[in-house]
Amino acid sequence: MTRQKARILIIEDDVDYVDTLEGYLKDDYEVHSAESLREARSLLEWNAFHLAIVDISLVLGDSSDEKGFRLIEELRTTEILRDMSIIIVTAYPSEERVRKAFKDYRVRDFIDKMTLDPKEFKKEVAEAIAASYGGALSF
Amino acid sequence: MVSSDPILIVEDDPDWQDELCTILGAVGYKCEIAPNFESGLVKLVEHRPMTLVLDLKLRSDLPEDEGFLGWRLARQALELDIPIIIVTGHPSVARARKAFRDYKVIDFFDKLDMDKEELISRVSDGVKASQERTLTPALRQHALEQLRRMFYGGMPIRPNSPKERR
Repeated sequence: MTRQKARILIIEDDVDYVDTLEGYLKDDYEVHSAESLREARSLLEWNAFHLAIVDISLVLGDSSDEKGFRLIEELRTTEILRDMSIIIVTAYPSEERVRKAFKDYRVRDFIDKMTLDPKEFKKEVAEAIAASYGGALSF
Repeated sequence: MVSSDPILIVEDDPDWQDELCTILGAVGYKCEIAPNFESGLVKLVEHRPMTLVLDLKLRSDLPEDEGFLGWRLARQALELDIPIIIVTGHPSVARARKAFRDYKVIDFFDKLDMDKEELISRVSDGVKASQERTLTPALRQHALEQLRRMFYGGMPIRPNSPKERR
């Protein structure tokens, strides 16, 4: 019997970066991706995910990171998604963004794209999935 | 009503000790001060503070930020778990991430950009969270024994008495 894999949603408009992250994860997880907030919302409405990896620098007409944070806020106020683990990735890290991400949005991790280490990233993903929904899931 | 249990400030700079105590004292918090993590650990056990305001770069030549090292020691060796707020003059993305992700701090402030009202608000959050936790007599005794073994070779602890501040 095939063991069920945890499901990850990558919300990222840079398709090359999606390919990179998918390359690290596809052997162990079922990976989906969304290039926009609308696409992400649609996927989240109809599918159960165990982890969302969100680029807060999503560009939708402007380069503000408010789009990514806005989606995370939606997730945190949606009852069935509020305890889903979230990892942020960004090419524009700052202490203030780190603070906002952990303090206001309870993310599991905040990763600078430029210094992402694949081995550490996979470990973080595994821990985030184990902790998702309060650790109620098992794979 | 503000809690009468103290806020512990671990900070080596006397000016910042005064500044933090003044900010918190103005709204009624009592402060205990420790200039390094060794005396900080002793005070954590002896005074049972409600929240810890912690500097990262204390006077030390250790390779790791002494604040993180001290707190890891407190958690692992002494089984202490108190809400922590970091106040640092050396903020960085890596330090902020480590503080929130690994040490579960309730906030992280850059000394040069700190909002006093926000600090007070976060200390208040820490106190509320702390009121739900207790350091039982057995746990306290265990922690004191550990401290004696770690720093004093099993001899009784004789920390320098701090000047209490209100």
